Amino acid sequence: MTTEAVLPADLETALPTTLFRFATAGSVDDGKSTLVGRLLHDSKAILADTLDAVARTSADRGFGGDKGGIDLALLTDGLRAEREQGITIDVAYRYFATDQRSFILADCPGHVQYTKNTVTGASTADAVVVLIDARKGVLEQTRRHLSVLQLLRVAHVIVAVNKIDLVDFSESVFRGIEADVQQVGRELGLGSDGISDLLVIPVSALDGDNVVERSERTPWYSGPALLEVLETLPAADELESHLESFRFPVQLVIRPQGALAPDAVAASLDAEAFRDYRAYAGQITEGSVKVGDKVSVLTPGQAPRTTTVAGIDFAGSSLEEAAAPQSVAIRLADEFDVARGDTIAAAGTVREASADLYAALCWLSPKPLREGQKVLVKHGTRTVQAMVRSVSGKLDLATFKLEGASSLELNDIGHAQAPPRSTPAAGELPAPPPYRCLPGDRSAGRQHAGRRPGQGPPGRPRGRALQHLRSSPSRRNRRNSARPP
Amino acid sequence: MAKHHAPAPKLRSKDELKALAEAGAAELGWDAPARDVIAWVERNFDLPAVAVACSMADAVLPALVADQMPGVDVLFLETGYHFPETYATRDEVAANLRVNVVDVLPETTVEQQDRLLGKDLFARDAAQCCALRKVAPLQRTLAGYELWFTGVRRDEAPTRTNTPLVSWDEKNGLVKVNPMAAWTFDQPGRVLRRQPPARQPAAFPGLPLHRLPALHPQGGARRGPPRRPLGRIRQDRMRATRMSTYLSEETQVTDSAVSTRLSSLDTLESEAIHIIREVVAEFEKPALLFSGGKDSVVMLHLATKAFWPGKVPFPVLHVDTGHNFPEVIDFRDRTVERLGLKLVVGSVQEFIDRGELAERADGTRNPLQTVPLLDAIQQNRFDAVFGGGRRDEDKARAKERILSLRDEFGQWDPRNQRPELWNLYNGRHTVGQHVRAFPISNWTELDIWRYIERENIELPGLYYAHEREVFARDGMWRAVGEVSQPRADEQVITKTVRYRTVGDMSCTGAVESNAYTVSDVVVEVAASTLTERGATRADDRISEAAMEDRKKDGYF
Repeated sequence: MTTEAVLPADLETALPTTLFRFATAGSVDDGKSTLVGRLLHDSKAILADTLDAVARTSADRGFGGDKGGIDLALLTDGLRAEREQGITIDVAYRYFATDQRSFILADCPGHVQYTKNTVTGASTADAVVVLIDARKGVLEQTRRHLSVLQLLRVAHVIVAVNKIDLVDFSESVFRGIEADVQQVGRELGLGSDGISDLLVIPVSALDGDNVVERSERTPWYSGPALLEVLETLPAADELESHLESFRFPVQLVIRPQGALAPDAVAASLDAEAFRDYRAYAGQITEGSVKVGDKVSVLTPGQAPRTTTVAGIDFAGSSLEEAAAPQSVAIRLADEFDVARGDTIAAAGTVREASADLYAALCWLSPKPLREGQKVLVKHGTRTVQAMVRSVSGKLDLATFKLEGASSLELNDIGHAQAPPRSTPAAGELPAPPPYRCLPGDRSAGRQHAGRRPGQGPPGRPRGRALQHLRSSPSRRNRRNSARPP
Repeated sequence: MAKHHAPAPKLRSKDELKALAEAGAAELGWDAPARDVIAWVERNFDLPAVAVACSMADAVLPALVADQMPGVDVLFLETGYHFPETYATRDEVAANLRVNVVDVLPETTVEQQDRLLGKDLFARDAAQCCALRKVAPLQRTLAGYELWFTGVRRDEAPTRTNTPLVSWDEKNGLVKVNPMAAWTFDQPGRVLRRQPPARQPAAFPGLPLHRLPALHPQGGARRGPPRRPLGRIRQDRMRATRMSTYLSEETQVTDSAVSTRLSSLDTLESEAIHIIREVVAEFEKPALLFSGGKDSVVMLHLATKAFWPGKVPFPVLHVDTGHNFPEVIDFRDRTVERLGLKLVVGSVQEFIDRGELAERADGTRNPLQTVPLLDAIQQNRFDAVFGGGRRDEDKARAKERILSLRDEFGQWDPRNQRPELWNLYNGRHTVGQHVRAFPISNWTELDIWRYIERENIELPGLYYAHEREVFARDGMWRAVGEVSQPRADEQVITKTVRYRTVGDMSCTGAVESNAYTVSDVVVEVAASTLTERGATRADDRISEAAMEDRKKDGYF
């Protein structure tokens, strides 16, 4: 639900709201769920019956002692086990709106064991808020989260130094942590890589200082409150869609022939109008496209084929242009054989195809990633088999140096090389990586496609440890830059 | 500056004005020029009975009207929170145009309100603040007029495409005229960005009207100092409740980026269509769970858009509890026929008749849907089932992935969900397992209603206000029907109600409502203080973890 004001139509402003996705991450007991509860509560996103239920449960558990406060964390911990243990296990998605924006909030778990869930929540976020307990400062889990965010190429990283009330609103404590955070940022390239920015804010989630409103108890801090930041940061697509080259992984081919939608038939006087209709359906992952643009169709094992965009269709209307993240159907001037897994890209922006994949990754499966292991690589709309040739190293979270390793355990961050299995004779990756060079990988002369692993389904048949290596298919390809090993 | 006007002349009766509005609408048609619209007003209304609403974001409307009706009242909503530049515009309008600027004042000054309701109410409760400082004062003021002009244009929003030139404003009880309704404006972002904030009042004498900054739909919201991404103190948060787009000189958003920015509804629509297409591409035999409820109706609408001009390439599945509202079943059948779809029905009644399910003591059949659902999935070998679940509905739903793996028993394992990164969905499963796909996971109830309004989607009539015999139980209004009979101590009364969800009749409650149209519902939902399920579903109230328990068992 939202907090939007209700006005007579004429008083409403006309531009519709945009969407902003953000996630929260932190170590156990950093007060993350409380912060989220505070944001929801103070922005009036909690409706009366939900608040009643939370107040009842808080009272039952004697939260806040005699004063009878509300345990804001109960607002987000949705699973029985979470409420029982008082920790967050999986990402909880929450929705609220202010007069500025509609928000999707992914409240991620802090425990190292649930990093895979944090990765899930952060992957779609325009911004991530990392919490630090002011009494504890930067912890290993903080360093892990910041590394993961760098890996995911999250555009905006906000570090909230929480429980500032418990250190008596001390400026020196805050400045010390701020300096540590900036140091970590420098080592990781966060905030200085031209992709992300890094901001540090002192907050008290429990009391609300600098969460929605700027606090008078931190006079030494002149920056914005957290919600102010979230309301004004540009979303990733707003930042990027004009910077990047057009990329369109084909999801499926729309070729109805006889099976036309009744309303499409009704709308068209000519029943034959769609007889030869053929369009490629997908979501634009980067950049924008116009009718008449020159594009290349990238198919594994084939040289790029160049043609022009004949039409952009969406549910009965024809568009002149479209941009990420729109879902559309594209018609091409030439009748190529194009199928799911192929990519349509702006002509002249495609790098050479390669059979080698060098990936910086965070391993999310309980079964370790080992050299020689067979994996699946999901790459745009295509899934291919590959084999891990070598694991080049694993990140030491204390030094951020890559140390020698031959396998990656759950939650390890490391580098691996995985040429696809059953490589075509030509030695090409089944789908040529349609990625462009980013500032970050200028120094690296290899193909980097920012592959990151997911976890395979549990209980694979025949006990094979096939894992999903997943690529970033989307606008997030800005995250393709690989880090020098 | 003029305060409230002297008492207005005696106004004509509402019936008379209403008839006049109808005649005007007929005479002017759909797209008469603004000049003709204003001329019609001039012929039929006395000057003191006419007002022009103006945000001082622009001066086009007052300029237009003043040209033909010099001395007209221009209403300025003086909330006390405007940017200095807005006040400057107001002063220049007052000085340079032949109009009478009327400051519409709230009951209290900002200082008084701060004392009464606490400081910065706008930040804590924008709705209340706007009601006090904008809506109520405006309504009070309009009561003294027979007609008001607004600057609404049809191209501002999909919801405004039907804006008439002249209409009867039921809410405020006077004639409303939108002389600029038919005007269009392309590339708002570009003009907006070119317009230096301080120039607008001085600009209009020489410029042709269509070049005026006024043409920006909400220019006023952007007046003032350039916005900085951080560190900006928001002085004027009330100025634009829906203002959301972020324009920052510093972030170097180019014109093309501005022109292609998607609204939140477009973004959600695009995401849902992507998900639907992924599932169709990666699975052998998907089906869509269709109950005739609004969420499943929206989902089906999205599916028709995803595959246009082709047919929706999968069947729809309905689990009929046997206690469904007859109107909803009728709607379901009509929809399926209209789209030429195949319908698979799983029947709770049949399972009860066969003795495979037992009626519950409380008579509620919602929890009984699980077995017939899993049976239908197995019988038909569906490997993916689309559900209309939304994460804002419940704490357990808030945790579920968009693609959610179910084991051989249809169960969800909330503690061991797969990673789900970016827009990559892992649909791998073994024989016997299936996947539930939730394309509208990220939509809120309000998003659903706004989309229904925007896309003009038909729903069962139950969703809109109607009269019904009801009785109170568990704090909800329950319909009197075959399956929900009042107990002796429960009194039956006739009320105007609507349903926020249309599940099983035995456990779905109605809410009192006067929302007769989809726009009414949008307003009502936006203002609601209860969650959808909390307000209307008895079965979700059983325990903190009611939904989680049912989901684990295979419920949607």
